[in-house]
Amino acid sequence: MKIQGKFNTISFVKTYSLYFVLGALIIFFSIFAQGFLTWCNFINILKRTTITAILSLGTLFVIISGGIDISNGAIATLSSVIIATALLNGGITWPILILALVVLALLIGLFSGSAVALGNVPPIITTLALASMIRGGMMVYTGGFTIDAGRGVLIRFLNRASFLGIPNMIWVVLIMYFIGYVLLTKTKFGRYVYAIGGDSEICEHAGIPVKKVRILVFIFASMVAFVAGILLYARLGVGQPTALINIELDCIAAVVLGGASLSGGRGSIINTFLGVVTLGLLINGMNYLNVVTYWQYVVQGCVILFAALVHSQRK
Amino acid sequence: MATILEMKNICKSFFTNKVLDNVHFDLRRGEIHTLIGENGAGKSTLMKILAGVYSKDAGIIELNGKAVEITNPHRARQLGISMIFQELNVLDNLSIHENIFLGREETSRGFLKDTHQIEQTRATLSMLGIDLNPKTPVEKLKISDKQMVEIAKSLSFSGKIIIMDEPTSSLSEKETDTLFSIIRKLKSDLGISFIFISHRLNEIRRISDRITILRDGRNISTIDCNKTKFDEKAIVRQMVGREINNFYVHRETKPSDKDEEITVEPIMQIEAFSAGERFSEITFPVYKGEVLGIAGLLGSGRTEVLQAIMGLLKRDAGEIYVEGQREVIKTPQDAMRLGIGYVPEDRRNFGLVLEMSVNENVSLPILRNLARYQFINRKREKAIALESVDKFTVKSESIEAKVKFLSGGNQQKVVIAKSLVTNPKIILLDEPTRGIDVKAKHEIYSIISKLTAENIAVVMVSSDLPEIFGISDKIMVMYEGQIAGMFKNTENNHQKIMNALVGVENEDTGKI
Repeated sequence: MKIQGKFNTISFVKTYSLYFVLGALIIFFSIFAQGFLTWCNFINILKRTTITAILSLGTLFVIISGGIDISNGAIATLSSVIIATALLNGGITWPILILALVVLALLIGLFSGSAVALGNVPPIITTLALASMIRGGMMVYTGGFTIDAGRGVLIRFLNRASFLGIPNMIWVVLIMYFIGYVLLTKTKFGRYVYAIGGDSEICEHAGIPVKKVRILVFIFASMVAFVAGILLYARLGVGQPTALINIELDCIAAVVLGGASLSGGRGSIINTFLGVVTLGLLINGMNYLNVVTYWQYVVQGCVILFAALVHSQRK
Repeated sequence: MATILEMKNICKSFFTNKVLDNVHFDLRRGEIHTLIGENGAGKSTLMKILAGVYSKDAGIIELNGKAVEITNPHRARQLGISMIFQELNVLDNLSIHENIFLGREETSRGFLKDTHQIEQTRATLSMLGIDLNPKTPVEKLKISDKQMVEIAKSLSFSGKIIIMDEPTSSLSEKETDTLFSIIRKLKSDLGISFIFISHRLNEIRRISDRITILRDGRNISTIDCNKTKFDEKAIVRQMVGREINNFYVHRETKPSDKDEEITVEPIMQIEAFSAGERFSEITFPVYKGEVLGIAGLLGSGRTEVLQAIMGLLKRDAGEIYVEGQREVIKTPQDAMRLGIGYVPEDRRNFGLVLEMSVNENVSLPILRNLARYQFINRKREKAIALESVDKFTVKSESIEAKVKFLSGGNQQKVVIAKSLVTNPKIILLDEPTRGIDVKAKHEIYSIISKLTAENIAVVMVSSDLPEIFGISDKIMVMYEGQIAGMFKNTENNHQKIMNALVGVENEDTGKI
């Protein structure tokens, strides 16, 4: 029996497990790692996690709706390779390039969304196949070589410039998260994303266009991945077809760390962002402590599992 | 009172099985009309047709005198008809107002505008006398409050007809009282009509204006409670009143029946089993070569008692004796080791691995005996499976066929075969004939009869009363988690059993 209004330690820990982990990490590294607790390092952490942060936004929407997406790393890489190719070949104006990227993002999202919603292919298979197709296609086109279009305005603007002391790249993340927050909490679409993740049958009975919402979720994720691709290009300065391998797993980890349920219906924007930051901060702090990279993976795995364990404990 | 709804000549078949045969039903404004009947009588099907969940094969539905087609639940709601299912259709991850206005969110320039709907929700909740914040997540609510959310939802559609499928089955007595007073209020203040599906006669008496009895997909009678006296016993008779003929396999030997003085030791004795609110103080013996039928409504705790015996459900108190020895059963493995076999209610989820073959399913419980260093002795496995298939007349192309391709009846035989490969002394059957055709039912009864001939003790839970009467030696009735009586299966006791089943007091509880 649940007594309402009574303080419940377990549910408290469960709800705020991410904050505990984050707080503990900050305290730990502040004490043991010289130079960790500085504004400069904080900005550094955010800067290093921008691409994961943006991709996680798409992952979050898909996971809340009850699906999963492991194609966003490939889509983002595709976006960066296309930009590099366009800039290298020249003769294409910015508006046309942007329009082309938007249309392509839409088509890719429509493709995977339709396979899931209309073709009843499980999301994990759909996005696995899609990732394989995109990665393979890029290798065919580039022959595995990076495409160097020189240091253009895009790179200068995103990778070097800052506004109010915050690098422009981080502004992009903040703007994307703001858009994501508004979409998820203030619009009908966002409400339906939660609803179909809760129980799609009830939604169908309520007259909600479940299939349409599912497709829109994949279109959103694809769009978001294309934005991440722009940042990727700015970061690398080249189009590299083998970039971002396995990043989708970091995204899923961040979203789950942020309290989302893989069975759908649950998840929050702010906690996803904190999940990304937690993972970034963990790596950063371990770098300060000179932990060998291989061990960093081990520790990261342990932290993710620990957080998930705390979260999945029943009342 | 004006008639607002008429359902005429409704027919519905599932495959070859006719579930509704020319059924009539009508509803007046501001009336509470109860539908009763046994499991499989067609109550739920009729109501699901009205709510747009199923489509009818034939017949007419008239709403306020006009024929309407109800193609889906959404359409039904728009027409003012909503159905509240036993397993409540609310989204736990959304708040109260989000649930109530799901699919009808108000927006301005693309953004949600909840304030108005939150206010409406607050108003509806306070009219229902529920003190809850509309923004509360539904997962934090009690079941009774979730039900209120569904009622509020129906009202927000300006619902005129609310169908409730066994709404009280998961409510406490106090919550039931609250629900009933709210229903009465809605009926008199707003003229809302309710259709109730229920089994509990004492509740039905309190709340109904009219009662319609269905049996085997046909109308039996409609009683106007304001005009005629409520005669429980007559109602029960009309509900069941089917000839119990020689469809059931009668057996001659009934060991503990032979002499009135029971000197036979029970093979299993359950002592004072209790588990929270599910059931309490359950004590009964089980004898060799006998069928003990356990009858009870949904939620009476009958299934849970079997699960507790098998160690699938943790009990708070009680002891179990097998052949006079006190035993501890914590897992189904323990139970199987003691010679207790179990056939669960939901064969597709708990009884079978659908993707595996007949052969692999049957051998699952004894795989450890068939394997040496992890390698399975396929020859022996096949031999055992063939023997079972033969003994239980499983019809399958081969024992290598996946069980998902078998008919329900044959699947059920495979589950029974599987539970018997360990050579149990006692076998617990939960709804062994649910959802299978008549011929397969008959074959299952023959199997049960064979088992008792081999001196195995059978405990069978069933919601099919004729079945209980047809093959049990003794019948234990459960009502709301307690034993409402233990009876010998004699013609004279049938009325008493039916009374006990629906919570009507008998002069004697038929203690044996």
